[in-house]
Amino acid sequence: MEEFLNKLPTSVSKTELLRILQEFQDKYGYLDNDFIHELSKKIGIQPGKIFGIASFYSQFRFKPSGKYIVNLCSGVACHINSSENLINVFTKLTGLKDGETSADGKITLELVPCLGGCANSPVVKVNDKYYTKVTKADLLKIIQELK
Amino acid sequence: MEFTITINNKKIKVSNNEKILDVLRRIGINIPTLCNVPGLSPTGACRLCVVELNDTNELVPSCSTPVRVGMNISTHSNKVINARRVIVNLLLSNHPDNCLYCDKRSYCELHQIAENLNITDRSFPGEPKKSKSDRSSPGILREMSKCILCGRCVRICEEMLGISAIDIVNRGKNIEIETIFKKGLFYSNCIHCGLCIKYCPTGAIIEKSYVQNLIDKLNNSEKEKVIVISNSTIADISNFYGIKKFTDCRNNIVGALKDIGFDKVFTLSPGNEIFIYENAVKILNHIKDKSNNTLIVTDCPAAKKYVKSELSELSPLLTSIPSPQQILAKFFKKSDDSNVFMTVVTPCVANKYEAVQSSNTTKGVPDIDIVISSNELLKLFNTYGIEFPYSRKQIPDNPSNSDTSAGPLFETKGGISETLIRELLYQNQKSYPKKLFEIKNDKNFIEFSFVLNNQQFKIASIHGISSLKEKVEDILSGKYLFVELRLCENACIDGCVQLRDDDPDKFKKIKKLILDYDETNNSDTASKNPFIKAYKNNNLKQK
Repeated sequence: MEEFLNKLPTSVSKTELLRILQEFQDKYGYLDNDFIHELSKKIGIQPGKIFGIASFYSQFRFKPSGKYIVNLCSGVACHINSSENLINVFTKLTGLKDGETSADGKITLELVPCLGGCANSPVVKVNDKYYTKVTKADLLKIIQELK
Repeated sequence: MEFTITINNKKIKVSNNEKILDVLRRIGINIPTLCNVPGLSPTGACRLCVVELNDTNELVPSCSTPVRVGMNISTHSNKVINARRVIVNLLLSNHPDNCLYCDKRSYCELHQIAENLNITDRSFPGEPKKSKSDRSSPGILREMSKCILCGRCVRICEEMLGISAIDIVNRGKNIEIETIFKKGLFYSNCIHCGLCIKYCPTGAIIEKSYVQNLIDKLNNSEKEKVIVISNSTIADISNFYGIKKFTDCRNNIVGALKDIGFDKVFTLSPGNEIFIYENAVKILNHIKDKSNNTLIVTDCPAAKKYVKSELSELSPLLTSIPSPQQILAKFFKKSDDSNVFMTVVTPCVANKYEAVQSSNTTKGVPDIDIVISSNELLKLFNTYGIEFPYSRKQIPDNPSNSDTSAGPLFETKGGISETLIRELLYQNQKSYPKKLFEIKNDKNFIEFSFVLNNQQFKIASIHGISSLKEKVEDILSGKYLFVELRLCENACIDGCVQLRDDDPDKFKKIKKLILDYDETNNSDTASKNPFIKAYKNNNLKQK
């Protein structure tokens, strides 16, 4: 983390906050308390405010995630194409609810409002890989692969 | 540029950059608002202040809409009133209806507005929000189910203080007002000033009440029960019941508290006086040592915490004299296994926080057992059916019986400076002009110079964080001998948990009570109190 902060220029504009948060999360997986406090000193925004801003975006995480982040879409188009069933199946098989990580640290479930693939809904995303028009059978297969 | 607009069929002169709401307030038209705080940026969050533009039949929020040439506004048309009713109905749709047990009760702005709009039924049956509270702070209690997300507290904390201990977190229906990582106020950078309590329109942010604990202790504790009342509280109760003389009300309160069951009743004055005396000694030594630093004199726990955490470059300049409450706590509880149960009444939330700091505890137990607010003291009196003027008058116990008027004066705006300069001059040359410092001035920043030992000194009195931030460099440059610092803009007499009152000029009346007392009193500087003389001699002996 120190390395990351040292690489930032001495004075950082407040408008660069989101970019910095994204970069940090890409590198370390989530935004932690210490980082937010250190960044606060550098960027001149109070830690509480940074947390408030970051919490607006579902892309930011505040606790460590598993190796595989499974995004199930709960948006309108996916919902119409029975994404709710997929979510129930997933929860039944893995015991994970929204935002939870499995005990072995492998899988994190995150429900998202939209993945931008409504035409091919329901959509499931595992890390950077998209699965479209997912059926129950497809989901079972995906879970098998992850385990 | 000035022009006229039409409001409710009347021509009104306005200037270019005014907001509609400001014009309405100026000409005395009453519009309900929930999110608006004069002086802070308008957010247009609650939409209660909507008015109708007659040309387009459009509803616009008056708090954030600037006036335009040719505007024709209706403030209470049928459309407007219906819109307001819908908004309030929606706000109430998921509100927990436990008003009977809510501390805000008749002072709740949401309740008041619903009543004014004749809302008697729940028209949108939503599920009431589940109770979720943050009890981590010793002074502030947040009950988020009562929050209507107006954002007043967030803007106070951000714009007025620059702290942002709380912010709007999450999005959509999951929005809530939260601290960092939702850990609670005590674990955030909150300075426990209590301004959010003062501005919250509902019962979502209230002071943590200790009255019931106090009553239990009064009846069950074998210890000697001691209570210390701040002078701001006395003056506030005096104003509340229309008692003209400060000392009359003080003696009334002392009598009442003795009847309730306290063994000894004191005012905070001896603490204030020791605080003044110790600071004066420190400043005189400071002059002798020819140091060029500016000293920061403050008894305000919130200001101290702010300086330590946010302006750490200033923190070595704080004179490390404990606050008057804590001075008295050390005085009354001399030994570890003290047989004293001590209660303090203050107008301040931060005192509750200060009392649990490790430096103010002995073996983990706070030196001051219970801190209650002026507001809670009134509840205590109401519980025991006590009305003022109370029939029994009593003089406070020694050492509060020989109070000087410096004690009460100390708690007003500019009071630290005024009493401290008096004391400096008195200790140095035994004489001082009365009213040497323009304490009646209501500005948040005042500079003053005076002569001590043929040397000219400058001091400053700073109230509020924004004034402090502007003067950081002046303080660091050593321009002043000392600065007085308090976080509340009208000092302790207008503290956040004084009696609830809609009168915006209340603090002026309270101040007048205290100034009148000071004017008619000849014993008006700390060292004139025999108790301080004894304290001084005792100190010398110990050395």
